[in-house]
Amino acid sequence: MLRHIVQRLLNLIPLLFGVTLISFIIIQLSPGDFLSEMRLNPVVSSETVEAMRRNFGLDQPLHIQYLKWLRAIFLRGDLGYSFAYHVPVTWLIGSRLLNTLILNLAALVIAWLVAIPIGIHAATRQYSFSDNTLSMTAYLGISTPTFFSGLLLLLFAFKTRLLPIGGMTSLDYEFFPWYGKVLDVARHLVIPATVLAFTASAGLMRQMRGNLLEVLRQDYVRTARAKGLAERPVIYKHAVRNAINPLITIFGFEIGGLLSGSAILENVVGWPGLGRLILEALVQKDLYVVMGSLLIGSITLVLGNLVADILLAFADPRIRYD
Amino acid sequence: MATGQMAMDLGRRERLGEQAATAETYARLVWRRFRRHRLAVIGGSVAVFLSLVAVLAPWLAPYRPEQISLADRWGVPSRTHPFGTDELGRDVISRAMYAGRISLSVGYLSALGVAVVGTVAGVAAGYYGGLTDSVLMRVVDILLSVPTIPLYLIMAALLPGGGVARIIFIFVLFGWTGVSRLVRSQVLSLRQQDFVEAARALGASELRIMLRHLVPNAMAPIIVATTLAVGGFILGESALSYLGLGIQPPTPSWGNMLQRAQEYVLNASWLALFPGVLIFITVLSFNFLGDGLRDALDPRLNV
Repeated sequence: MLRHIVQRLLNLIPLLFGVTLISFIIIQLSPGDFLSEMRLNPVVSSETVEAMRRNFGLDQPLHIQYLKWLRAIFLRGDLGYSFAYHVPVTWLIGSRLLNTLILNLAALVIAWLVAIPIGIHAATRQYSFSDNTLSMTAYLGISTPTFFSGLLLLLFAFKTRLLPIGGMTSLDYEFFPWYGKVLDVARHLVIPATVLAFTASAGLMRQMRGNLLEVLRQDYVRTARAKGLAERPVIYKHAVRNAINPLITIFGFEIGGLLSGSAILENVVGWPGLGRLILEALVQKDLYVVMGSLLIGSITLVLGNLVADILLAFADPRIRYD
Repeated sequence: MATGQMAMDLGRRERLGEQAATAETYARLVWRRFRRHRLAVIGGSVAVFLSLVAVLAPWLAPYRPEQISLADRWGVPSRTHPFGTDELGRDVISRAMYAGRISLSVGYLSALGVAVVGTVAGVAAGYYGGLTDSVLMRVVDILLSVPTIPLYLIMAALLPGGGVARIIFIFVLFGWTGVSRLVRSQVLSLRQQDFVEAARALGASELRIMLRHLVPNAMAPIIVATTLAVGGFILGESALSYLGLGIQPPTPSWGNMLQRAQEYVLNASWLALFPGVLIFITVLSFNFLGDGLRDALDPRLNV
């Protein structure tokens, strides 16, 4: 097991190396750089622009720029410098990372708390009225674009004045005591977290229902019933425990998506997370911010997959890696 | 994992048996199973209907989509304008029909492109194995390690232009990985089987084996994945357009109609409602259709 984990970790190195190369190539493909707009600005002299170009290392050939960027990451964990904000990229990403994590973790917790019981309920009452209603709702969940449901909820919040419309904090946030601050963020969190959780729980519920139906057809479930076991222990002790295994893989994916899953919604509701940072940086051609965000997102993704594999091996004794 | 694989193989063998008996029987069986799936039939019908409306938009639309009429601005839905009019007095239902042409084209063509590229890569990797397989699958691994949504955002923002081709290019470039893995795993188990050996013994060329024996037998997961992908790409296009990175106005797409509408959503909510609901209905239909096709073609498929 330990050998397997170490092996997988070693495999991540060439993988992430490939990711850095791809993100660098993609970003260099784009025409123009951060300085092209400055060049058009008559107030800024061409000497200043040239000095900045040298300063940022943009005058060097591409492969040198790439290697320098890579070396800084490896040696110092330094992702480069933001042209637009004049701060290190790691600092900038760090300031947004927490916001994205808060949003996605809230959605993750809600989704699992809602989806698992509902999935079990639907599977044990297949084709009943409640199963049909819940399965239909799940279809709606996976088909609704988050930007549309987000927009509708913002409209609802505006009409009813029950919830704040967009953003993460109120204007007078700084004057609140600490519990007021928590409450304020929580109120802003309701809409985006609901939207994300609706989509996520829809997929999760469908998966749970499908897995459980599959397991309920197995011989050992019939055996359990045949030996006179009550229905509850049959479902919860025998069936559910086996049906939950495939969900562990999904859990890993969700861990991997913690930083990137809300990218579009963040831009709709104005949540100041990584997704918004990427879009802002793209508009300003702030190269290193974009590359850094993509790299952080990728690392999270591959680590999430690894976590899923390890958890699955612990949860399911039938899986052996040696 | 192993038992699932075995069950899939059994399922396939059973299917191959049916196919060998008469091709007619398998098609009829699929049709019978598909028809039982009521939501899939509804989804399929809605998808066909929306596609027809999109194709026939120039004849069906009551107005020209770009026809501005400042006297009729902000019209609520009425008999002359069933979906109302927008901030320039353009007829929303006509625009929605033309936007459907764009949004559906992006969905269909991207899914088709992904199916073709994914199948070619998957067959090549599975059939040739060795270096071809290693290189292709490492590329897949790397592409799958980059989070999709930020990647699409970045590509859409960096590639210049606002056309349909650009969006399809992005979707195909990064979307083929899933299909290629599906096809590869199918081909790996198919190529061991006797009928492929028999074809080789009879002197069939490699290309013939791939096109005549491997691809047709891997068709079920490809069809299901492609159908679900149509909905997914329509969702993707509308999300990008909604953020202003996708199809650029004046070409209407459901996503960029929604983007314009969000500014006026407080006073003219119908402008946001119709494109939003259309995206939703379309995606829902393709999800129904895909699920129904999976159950009909091979209930054990895990696409």
